[in-house]
Amino acid sequence: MQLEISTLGDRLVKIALAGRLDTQGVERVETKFVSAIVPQGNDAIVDLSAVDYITSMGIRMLILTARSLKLRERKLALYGVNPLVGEVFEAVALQKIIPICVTESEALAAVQSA
Amino acid sequence: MSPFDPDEFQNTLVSARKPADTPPEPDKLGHYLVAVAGTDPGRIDEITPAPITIGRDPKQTVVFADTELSRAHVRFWLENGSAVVEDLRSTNGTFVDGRRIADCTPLSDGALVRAGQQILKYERRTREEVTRALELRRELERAQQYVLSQLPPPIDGRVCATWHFVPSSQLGGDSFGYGWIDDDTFVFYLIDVSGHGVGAAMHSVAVMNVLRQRALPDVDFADPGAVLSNLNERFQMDTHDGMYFTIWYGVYRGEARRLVFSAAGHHAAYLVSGGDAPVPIGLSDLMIGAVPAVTYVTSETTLPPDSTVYLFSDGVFEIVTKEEQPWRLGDFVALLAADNVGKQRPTPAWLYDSVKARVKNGAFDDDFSLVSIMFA
Repeated sequence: MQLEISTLGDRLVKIALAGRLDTQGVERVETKFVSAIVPQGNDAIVDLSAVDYITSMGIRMLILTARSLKLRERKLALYGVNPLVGEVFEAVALQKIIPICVTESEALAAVQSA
Repeated sequence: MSPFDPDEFQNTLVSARKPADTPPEPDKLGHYLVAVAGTDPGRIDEITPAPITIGRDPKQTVVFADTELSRAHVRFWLENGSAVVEDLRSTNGTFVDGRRIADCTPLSDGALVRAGQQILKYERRTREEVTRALELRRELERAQQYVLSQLPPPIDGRVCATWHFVPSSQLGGDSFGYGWIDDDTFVFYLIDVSGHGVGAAMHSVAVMNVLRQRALPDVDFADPGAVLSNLNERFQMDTHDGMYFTIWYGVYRGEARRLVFSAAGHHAAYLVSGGDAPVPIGLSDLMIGAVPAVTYVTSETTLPPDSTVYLFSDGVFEIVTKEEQPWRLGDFVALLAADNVGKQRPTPAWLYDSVKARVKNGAFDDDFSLVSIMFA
């Protein structure tokens, strides 16, 4: 599991995840993922195009981060979801609490909307 | 033989040592083999000057029920204070950090040795650390026994329920229940708490007990949507150590043969009747605890005579195969087709054996929970 953080602007970061977001994958990236977003109260877009597998632990990491940001009135959006991961997101209706977009520009628009 | 990723197991420790601690003196460190995957994960054996042999023959020092092991497969011993491994001309070979060994091979701290389905990590640890790790393992085993003791026994009659539950080595958060709440109304459900360990398991049992004892005031337990909405208010993840759970909850009315159901973050259950392909019975909605004030909807369907509903956790199909391929729900659902086992419907035990035969290293990462409910 790999993670790459880019600063896109004032209080706006992009995080690209790659690999399997399962228990072992989350153990490897969760601290870096959360600390890049939550303490500073950054809006964040997450590129999942290189994530080929996700389990409940991966979903938990995304939900906890989105909840923490909501308390700070900031937003998280996901994009580039592959069909296998999208199938899992659909089963848990994740789009009801985190915007799931097709492209990076759509994700940017989602976090920057009022 | 399937390859494996040594990096996958690098975070496995006998026990964690605080960074600020002074490292123990080398002569106080023992030599240990820790089973990190296979048929008995968590097992720890000490390497001594007298060789320990591993195989499937009961005469060996360490025996694993693993058909990919030879009778006497591999041995380990200490030579001048260093650990050494030797393959005993096994059929399937012994691998150290992914490379098959031909001769006696010294082991470095952290080396991963694979023999058959077993992956053993060589670690230098103090006896106290090993004692703590074994105590933790015993605690997990006790928690597993507790969860098992809370599950309902199989039942017969107009509705027959059987199940197969195998907790993972780290203990997942699965539990389930079923029973008649009046002469005509049968309730069944399955809960899957996010995460692993004793905390997730106890959370799951707590929810199961709420349902079993019908301990939600002013809630109609024959109304799946009302049950789930109420659970969601009571079990928000910020007041339960960051844990959420998924649940599938169904209510069967015998006279009308109607099944009313709701699901919270849980994949579909599957209906098998006649010779038809399995039919999903599900709804897409948020897991319990993610956000407050969710109103869960219900749906319903008719159950034909002699039909079976399979209800299961994601640990049943979220596996990586021996060919390193991640499975999808559809791969498992294909097993539910009745013609897989002649004219009989697959039993939970048969389904477990079928999935286990496909899992990489023969070990599940998550609990395997599968309930089969037959409606006459």
